[in-house]
Amino acid sequence: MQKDVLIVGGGISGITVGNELAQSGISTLLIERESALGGLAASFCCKASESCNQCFACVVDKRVSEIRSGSSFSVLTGTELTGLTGEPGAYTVSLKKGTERMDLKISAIVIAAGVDPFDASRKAEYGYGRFKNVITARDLDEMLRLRGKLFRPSDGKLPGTVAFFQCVGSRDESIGNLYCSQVCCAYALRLIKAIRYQYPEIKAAFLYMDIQPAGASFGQFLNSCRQDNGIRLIRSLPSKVYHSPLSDSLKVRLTDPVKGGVVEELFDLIVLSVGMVLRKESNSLARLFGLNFNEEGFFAPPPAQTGIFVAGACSGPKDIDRSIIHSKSIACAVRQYLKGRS
Amino acid sequence: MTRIGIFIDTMQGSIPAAFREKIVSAIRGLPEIAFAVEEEDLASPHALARMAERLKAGEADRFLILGGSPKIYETSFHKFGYAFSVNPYLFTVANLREQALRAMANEEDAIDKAQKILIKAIHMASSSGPIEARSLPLKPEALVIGGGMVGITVAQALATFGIHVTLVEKGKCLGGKAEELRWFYNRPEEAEIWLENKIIQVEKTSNITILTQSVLKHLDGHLGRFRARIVGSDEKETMLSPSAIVVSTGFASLKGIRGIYNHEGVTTLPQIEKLLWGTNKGSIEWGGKKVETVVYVLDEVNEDIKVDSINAIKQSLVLQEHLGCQVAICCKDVKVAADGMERLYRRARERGVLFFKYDEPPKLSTVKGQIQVDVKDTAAIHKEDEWLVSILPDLVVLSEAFVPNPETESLCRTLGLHLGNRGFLMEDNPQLLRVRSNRRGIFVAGGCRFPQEVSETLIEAKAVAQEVIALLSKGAYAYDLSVAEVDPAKCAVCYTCPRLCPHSAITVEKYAEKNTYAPPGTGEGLKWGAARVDPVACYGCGICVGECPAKAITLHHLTDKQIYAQMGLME
Repeated sequence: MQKDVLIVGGGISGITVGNELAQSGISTLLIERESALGGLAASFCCKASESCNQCFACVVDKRVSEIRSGSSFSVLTGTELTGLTGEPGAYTVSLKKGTERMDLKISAIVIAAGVDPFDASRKAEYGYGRFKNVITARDLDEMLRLRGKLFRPSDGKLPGTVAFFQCVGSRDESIGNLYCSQVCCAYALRLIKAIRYQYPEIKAAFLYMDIQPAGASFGQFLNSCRQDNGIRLIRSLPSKVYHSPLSDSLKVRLTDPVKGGVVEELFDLIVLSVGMVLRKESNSLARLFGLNFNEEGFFAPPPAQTGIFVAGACSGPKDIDRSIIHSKSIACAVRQYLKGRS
Repeated sequence: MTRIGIFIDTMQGSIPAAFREKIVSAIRGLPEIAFAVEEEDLASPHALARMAERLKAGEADRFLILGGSPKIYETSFHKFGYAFSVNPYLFTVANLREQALRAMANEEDAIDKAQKILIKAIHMASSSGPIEARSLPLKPEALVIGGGMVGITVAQALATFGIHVTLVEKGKCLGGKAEELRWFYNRPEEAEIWLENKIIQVEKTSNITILTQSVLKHLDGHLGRFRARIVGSDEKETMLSPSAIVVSTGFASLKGIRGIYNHEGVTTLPQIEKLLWGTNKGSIEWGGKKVETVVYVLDEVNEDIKVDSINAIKQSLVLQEHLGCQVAICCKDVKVAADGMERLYRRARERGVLFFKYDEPPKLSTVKGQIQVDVKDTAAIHKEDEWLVSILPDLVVLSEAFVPNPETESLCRTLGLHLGNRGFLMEDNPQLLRVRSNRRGIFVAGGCRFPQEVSETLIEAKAVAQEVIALLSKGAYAYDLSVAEVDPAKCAVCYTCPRLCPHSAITVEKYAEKNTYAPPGTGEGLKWGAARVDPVACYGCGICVGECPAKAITLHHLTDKQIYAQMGLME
């Protein structure tokens, strides 16, 4: 079998690159390790309140369903990459789908391996994994998408107060992640907005270090959050979460900039805004392709003329919007590379 | 009379036989039914093959599928590559499984509902008609408006793929706002040399025509057939007919002019960028005096743009490390949401740059001719420890407010684009994937949409290039006439529809001979035009159809008759 381009990873970035290349008649094969396409972004719920909050979740759903209803490029799910030989422009890759093995000749490879959410249990002071009512923003997102409602994991009841902890696994020297994940501020605020719209009785607190802007309409969106009486934006990251054995509520220790001093406050539910880290499995990809990592631990751009490209969030934290734009720009680079060779 | 062929999909038995029998018996014997066949699984390749045979036989001219969601059939038709010999718009799907069988609590209601759906679907099918598919040839020609960093990048990328680009720049030379930049926060190259090389490259490329000191004065036409009038400095007119247009006119910046801004000890970020780049003496001077203390006050403008934060941190490192200055940065939030920025911020802190995150803006006053900055130290845990810090800096650096170019609004009108609520081009709409506009064939990139950091803007530029290449590389745009059409005889030229069309697809043209109007007293029939929907530019949303006072507009894929049929208002 021969193809022009192999895309590794069927998340939104890989799908976008595939779509763009297929549109201009470049034969493309996309492989995905999981059984379904969509990657991390496919588990996100719509975060609209009165109006759209630009979370881009629907764009992912649309793309995935378009591909399901017949795409113009080949897709192999449940497939892994096991080997690479050859030289720039004339690679041979070995693929494994279940027990089946195949070899493929290709000219260019796009790696869109994606990211994983940070493992929140590594921040032991927040008690993720030990306290039922401490969840990650991704858990909350999946809860809203799959169960369609918000509830406390301990008793299934609607929480009265929810605290969002920002920068869990980002901008944190103690765990070695010295970078900003760039998406979590807007992501958590959108989640808060969506929750507040559905359950106006819930009071939310957003505990942050610095609010990072995200795109053209973010300023307006942030103002609407500031004007909402049910949302408190507190510039302070909590130091510890305590669990009381008598109730399921959680006690949070933090410096209150308004009161001025250390306070302990009760919350019914705690949501950790976990940052992004490169997928663990990406190490084997890096070895296979001879990819380097940048200081942040994401893939550094491979040297030009190797015919290997890196697209999407595995090259540095990106939201859906920026992943799509980045993938399109990579598609452009791939076309330029292929054109230069022919 | 139309003859309807019915395919009943049992959906692998999920629509029970008794149920099917009861509903089909209601229509059996109707004169318009040509045949009714049952299939175990209509979405399977074998069933589709049998279906194709049936269609070829020509017993019927409209087709109705009874079964599940239309999506299933669309998907399977597509997936198995069935090029049926009949027009796809002659198919109607009645979703009996989801809308009747599963929606109703008991069987009786379900049968009742299913029969109603069926009757409506038959009316729907008989009022459907074929819709023609067309193709519009696209010349490989593009117009790029704005010769800044984005415009140059797009033009260069398009030219590589054999697309002829006309690059229109209102200024004397290319470069735009990027000329203010001296070095990058994340790259070792010098920004000036980098930009110069890019400009030289573009000027050398044979496929790119550069028109400087020129502006777009007028645009009409639609995707593939735009007609643009460009006017140069000497009133020289150039007429172009590009297939696609990229708008990258950038943004403007406003320097504060009142009060403290006039003080000689106050400067702005771009000015200090120039100053810092020129020095290699180990110190800098401002107003004849050596600069030792510098205070940046950020976030009073551009609060949701990270560019100033990045530039301030980048500059503060040079001041602190090489020029022996003490720097303090006052801001609301330290914006580090860019690759590698957190490390740069850490380094600045380690080198002694002070950061004050304020809630209330710092107070700037003059003391004996020198500026004093009073800012609260909010880093203290206890309220009583929040001292007011007074700094007497040699230099205060403020941001310039990023605003839309003054001509953005008129450009918006010329191009028929939407103006965002901040005055930049386009509102954020996820469905347009950031770089598309409300009009097919027009793309928006860079600072005219929203000011961004250089490397992100360049990614956006390449994404736009990809969009244009994908559109033009096929040489033709395939579409079908499932769009709105105006009946010129009925059109009263009231201009309701062109105003309402969100995609600027409607213009009033003199194409309708029939549409005449005689003003009283003249006795002569004056020829008027009529509104015309361009089928390529139309998205088929139907807003104009609903709003037209003369009911002169029809949506081909959803006519009034079909809507009435679906509402059960037809006999």
